[in-house]
Amino acid sequence: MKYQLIHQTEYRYAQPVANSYNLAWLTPRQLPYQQVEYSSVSVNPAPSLIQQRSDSFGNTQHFIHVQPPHKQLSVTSRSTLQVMPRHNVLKIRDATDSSGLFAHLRQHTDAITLDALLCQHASRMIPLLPAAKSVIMPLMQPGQNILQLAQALNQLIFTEFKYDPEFSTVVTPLSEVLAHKRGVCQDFAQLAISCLRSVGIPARYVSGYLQTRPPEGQPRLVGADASHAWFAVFEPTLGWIDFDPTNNILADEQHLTLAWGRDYADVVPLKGILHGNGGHQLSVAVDVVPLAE
Amino acid sequence: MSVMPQPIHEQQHWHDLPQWRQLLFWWQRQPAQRLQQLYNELQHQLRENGATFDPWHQQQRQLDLMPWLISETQWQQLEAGIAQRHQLLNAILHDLYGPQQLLQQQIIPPDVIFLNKDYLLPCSGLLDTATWLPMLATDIGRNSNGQFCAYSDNTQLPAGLGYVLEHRLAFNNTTTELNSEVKKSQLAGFFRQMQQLLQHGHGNGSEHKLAGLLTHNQRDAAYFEHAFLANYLDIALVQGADLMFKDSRLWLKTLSGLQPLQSLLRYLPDNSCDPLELEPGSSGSAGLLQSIRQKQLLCVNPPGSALLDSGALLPFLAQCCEFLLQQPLLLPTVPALWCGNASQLAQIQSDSHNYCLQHLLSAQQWQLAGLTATEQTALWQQVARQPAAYIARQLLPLSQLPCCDKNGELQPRSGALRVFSLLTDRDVGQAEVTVMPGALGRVSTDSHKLQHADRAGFSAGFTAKDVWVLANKAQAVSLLKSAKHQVTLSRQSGLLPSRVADHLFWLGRYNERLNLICRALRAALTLLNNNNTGDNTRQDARCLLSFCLHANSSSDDSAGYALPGLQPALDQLFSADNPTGVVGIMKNLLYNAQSVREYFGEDTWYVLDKLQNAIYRWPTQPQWQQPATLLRTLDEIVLLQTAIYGLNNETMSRTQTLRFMDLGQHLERAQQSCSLLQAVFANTPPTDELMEALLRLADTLMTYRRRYHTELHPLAIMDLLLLDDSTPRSVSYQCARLLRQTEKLPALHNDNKLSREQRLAMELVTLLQQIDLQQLFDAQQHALPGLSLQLHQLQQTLRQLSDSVTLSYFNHADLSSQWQSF
Repeated sequence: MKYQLIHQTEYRYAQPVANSYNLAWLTPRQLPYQQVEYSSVSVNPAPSLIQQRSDSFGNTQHFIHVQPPHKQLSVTSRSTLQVMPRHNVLKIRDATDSSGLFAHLRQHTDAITLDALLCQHASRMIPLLPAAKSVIMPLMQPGQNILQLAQALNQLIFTEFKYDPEFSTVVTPLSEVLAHKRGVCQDFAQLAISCLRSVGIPARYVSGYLQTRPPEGQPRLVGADASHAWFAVFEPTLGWIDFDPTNNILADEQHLTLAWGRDYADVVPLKGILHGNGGHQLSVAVDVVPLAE
Repeated sequence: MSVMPQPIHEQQHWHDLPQWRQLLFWWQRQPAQRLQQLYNELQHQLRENGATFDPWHQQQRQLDLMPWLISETQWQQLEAGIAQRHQLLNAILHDLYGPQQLLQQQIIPPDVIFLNKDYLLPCSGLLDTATWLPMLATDIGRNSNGQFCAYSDNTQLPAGLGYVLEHRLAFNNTTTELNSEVKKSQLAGFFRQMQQLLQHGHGNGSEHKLAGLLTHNQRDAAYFEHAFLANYLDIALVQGADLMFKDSRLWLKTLSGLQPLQSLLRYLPDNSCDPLELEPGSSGSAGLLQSIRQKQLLCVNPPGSALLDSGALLPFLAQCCEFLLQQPLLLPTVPALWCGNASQLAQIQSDSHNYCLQHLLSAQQWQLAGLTATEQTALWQQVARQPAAYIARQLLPLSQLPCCDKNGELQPRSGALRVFSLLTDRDVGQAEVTVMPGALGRVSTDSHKLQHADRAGFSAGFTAKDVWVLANKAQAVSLLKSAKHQVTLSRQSGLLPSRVADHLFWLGRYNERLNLICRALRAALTLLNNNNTGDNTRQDARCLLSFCLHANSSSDDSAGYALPGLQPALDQLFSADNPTGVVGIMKNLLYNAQSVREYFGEDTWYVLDKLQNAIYRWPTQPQWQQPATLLRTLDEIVLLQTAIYGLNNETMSRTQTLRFMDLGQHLERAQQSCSLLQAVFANTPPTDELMEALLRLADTLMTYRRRYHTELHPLAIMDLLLLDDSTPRSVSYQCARLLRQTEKLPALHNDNKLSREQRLAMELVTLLQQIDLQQLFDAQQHALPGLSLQLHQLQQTLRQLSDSVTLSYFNHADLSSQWQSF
């Protein structure tokens, strides 16, 4: 499936701001199942510096400095990309069980396994909570492989947790999400990761978008889409397999991948810092437009 | 269970040294009294002695009169070992923040790095080819074989460099005859090398660029060291708020605009360096990492290096050396074990009293010998939950050295060394190590305490030893003084950051405000102190108190002077919690002074210290009926704060520094004098007592008497205090001075036009020249409304001048705002 992607973030400040510094993870990754044909990040007012680099996970990160006083800042990423089917559903039964996984993690230290080992521990936004462990423990069954376990977890989060955009913000701690069984895609992804890591299974956070389909007979609404997030589990032979707990599916052709890391903090689509006291307003518009091939 | 071996005596290495015999011979010739005297002199040489700002802060660092000797041959061995270790640690950082061959080849278990709070992912690939570790401080003690052995690395906050310098200078100044007898290696060359490193930076661009020492906001012993070191190296002492990122590099905000910074000696914790990429809300500068990445900033050391300080690599260092350098490790390193390995964990547990346990996730550490059985059990349970996050290093026996107590007697103490080294790029891929021929020696009765890794610098006090690396005569020529001379020529440390100018300006203003309020209060209380406290007198006192209440409030004076009751007014002014009372002003004064403490001499600190003490002894319940106590307090404060003027005139050599304080002081005096004249004259006609109090308050009673004999005329008083520019307290005198000072402020534009500050100061002078007092009083010498208008206009213009100075010179150092993430 081919897409055109537009993600616009706009800040309005109460007082003019000179010197705002930003980091953006807004450029889709080049992957075996995702071909990026075009991608750009533009900033208004014109930045005095925009510098691109590859971070330690291989994501594209932009450093943006806007110098002259401004009351409004907008950062827009535009991409054209092709997402291929991954056929991961068929692979699930081929996965190893946890003892096979642990044996692999003990014996191997190649670059790919090191990535997994980095995602086996608690991270800044994902503590390993006993409450998370007690979510995953009842799902574990003899003879079950790690991807079947991840799938069961995916389903459990989908059925037992309520999707509630009013409930959480980007800084809502995991313990709150667990206590109230509410949250959004980002919370569900981080919850799943916490559960998996608490039993020693490496899991990482994936930031991206989901193609939404308008109800039958209605046109697509421009800007109605949003950022999305899900999680991926490490399987020694299959690599990382992506699960989307918000929709109880495996990530596939509708999932556009931006970046991945240990948690949200590693791959915030856009974060910034400025010197000042005034408040600000934020608006985000995302468009994921399927293109006719 | 093994038993801790007996420590060796350092002296056994000295017996054959002629220098030791010289030292002993000298020592034995000194009478006990002389030794005591020398000891005291040495302590006095340490900068923070006698100038402590915090009254609860006890001076805790002491300098031992007996130096630590190291023979040339022992030193050469140690030097080679340090040089190799420095190269090794540099290579390790390159690898761990780069290709991670050490992990892939299973030389270091990945968990040791991934469970380490000091492993910072944003620092990956920060420096690809350049040196990762320009500076290293290695802690060294004797192991059970009596060899020098490294037990801790300090790269994040390599504290002690300034102390070493200070100790050597103290010795040079105190025991002159001893210095000429015992030949030792000099330290100056090392500091010169350090200067060159900082001056050269990454060697891009030939324009004159700055170096800075990045310090924290607290005014503690560490800050003293930073200020001392920056001054010696002639680099700017800066805080995060002094820096800004622009065009791929960091700039220092100074009075003459932004100056590019090419290197930074960093004394902030790794995580606090860059609020954008590292810990949000921290005090560093956004863009610091980016400027390192773009090779526009040489950072000594780059964030991420604290991974070495964590001790996590100690168990694997020998293997790392074989793998990365293909050499055996020269300098023995402390035996250390990783709890993630079951047999090593068992080994630690069976011999626990010899180990110090460290948690990599929290940087907590435990001396196992100091724990009770119950505490140990609890700790081992904690370790069992995630053993991979713990390492343990063995405690060394260390060596014993003779130390001189304050009575001049020699006592044995355990000692450890901190050795400093630099790694400089010679050519591409060819880095060279320079080891300082000397060290920070620390001694204690408790050898375990010395080995406690103090990662935030030396928080607790300690006893220090100057370390003398003995040299043959040929080497011992260079002197610290000659190096110091060379340094002062470039005057980088004299550059005035905008933040500092801002604090000095307000220091001037608050000091003056304090002076006037105290004087007015004193005048009011004296009126009340007389036996005759009739209605008129109370009214006069209320008038002065009302001036005091207004002096420190931000509200506009045009609101008029409502006269409060005596007791409520005194309560407000003397309340220790009232931000607009006397204590509030003193606190503001001290805050501003504290923020720029390196600009003052020690005597000023002594005075500020006393002022601080006055706050702690503040009278709690002021009674206007018993003004004697209050008067004593006020007298003391006026005495102290007047001393600040004088001392700063004496000690502040930097012209612009003094200028901003002077501007603040005279602007405040002009402002408050107008306000006072308004309070006294603008409403009801003043009584003779009030006019006399006013003249006394302005130190002009004698002048007035000489001119006008005894009669008190409002018009004559007004002339003296407002228009007569030969009276140092008149408004006119202040405005003339403001005009002179604004002419000398740094020019911000290259045109020949007058600055806004100059124009405002001229306007003030003109306003005063145009005043015709005869027009402002009626025949009965009662003030007409015009007087109030004129005074109001003056105050308005003074306020504009203050705002203008702020806007032109301080604004880019906005102190009130913090980094805000969004």
